[in-house]
Amino acid sequence: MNASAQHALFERWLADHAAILHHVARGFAEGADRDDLMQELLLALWRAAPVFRGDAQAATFVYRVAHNTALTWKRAQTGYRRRVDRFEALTPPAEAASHPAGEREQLERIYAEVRKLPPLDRSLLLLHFDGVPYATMAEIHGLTEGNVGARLSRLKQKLITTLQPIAHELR
Amino acid sequence: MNFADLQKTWASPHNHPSAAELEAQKARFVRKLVGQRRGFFVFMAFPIAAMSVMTALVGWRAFGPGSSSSLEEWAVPLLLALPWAVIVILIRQQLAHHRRHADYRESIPRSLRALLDANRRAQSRTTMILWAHLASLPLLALVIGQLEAAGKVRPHELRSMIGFFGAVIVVSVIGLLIVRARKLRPEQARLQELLRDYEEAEARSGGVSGVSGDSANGG
Repeated sequence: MNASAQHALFERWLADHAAILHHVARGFAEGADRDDLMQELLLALWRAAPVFRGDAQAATFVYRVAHNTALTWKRAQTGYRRRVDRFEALTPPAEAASHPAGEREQLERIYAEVRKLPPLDRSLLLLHFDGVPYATMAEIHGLTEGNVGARLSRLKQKLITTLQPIAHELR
Repeated sequence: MNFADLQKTWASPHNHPSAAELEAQKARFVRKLVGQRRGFFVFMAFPIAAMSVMTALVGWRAFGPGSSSSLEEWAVPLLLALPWAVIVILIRQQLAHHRRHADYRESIPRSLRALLDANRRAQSRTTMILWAHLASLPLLALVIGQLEAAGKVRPHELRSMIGFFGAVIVVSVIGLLIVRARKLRPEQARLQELLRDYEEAEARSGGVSGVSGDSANGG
């Protein structure tokens, strides 16, 4: 694959599957780290483009690359980073005024709960939220469909139980 | 509340990156990509340039017109060969790293195993470089001894040389030990923990999953 073909494929993936990267970045990182992880995801996709075989679905490939990268990504732990995080926590987001608070906050709560899970569970739940079939999840993670299903039932129940009181508060 | 409610929230427009956000990420990515490509070569350019100058000087003194070096100073090229070997190892390591990370055809657990293997190899390389440092100590002593015997080094220069090279070696060894303890070891533990999670899932499903197999078709 030459550089222009690689660039074209990368641009197409971004146009079609930017939401996948956005969900993975939010599900695995918070604060200033989210931008760093997003950059790692873009870099991983760029590097993976030459090995993409068109006979499989691009979305599955993007999911595999993104989740693989996020699972092995390590947050940078610097004093500067912690200060940026603290500053961001004190600063209300600029877009806050234009969105309904309940839905936005609930989304933030979902991500916060997802980030508390062990990495594999986190990845499975994110894939499930995106509507990825069990068979594809099993293929991406090298697990059986039965195992994926059992884990997800437990995870969904846990998430609903945790978020139930918050959902009432937000209504 | 049920899971369908959560999925509805998940599918809301707030959970999609805005066009402006995506453009900003892309612009930052392009800068990072260019920087990364330059970074390694800039990082390697200095030691390669320094070693080239030193090697050329030693070569000139040994084989150039009016050369003053003799076979009795055989330890000098041997001492120069050590950092060259390290440079070659680092370049090969970087090329291998690019090849390894370009391949996402395997499933995630297989990639984890590959990363774990790379981590172990990085640790063994650190050990090798530490041994190279230790090996350079007697060589350095030999070089200084040979130069002194040939009358090319005065006593105060001798003290400076021992102090300078000794400090360089001590700093390098400490740096390597810190990288090993603060970066490589924790990374190994993190990858092992992640892989253990997959292996436990495999064990629970009776070992029929594709964790150790080649179930992924790679895209």
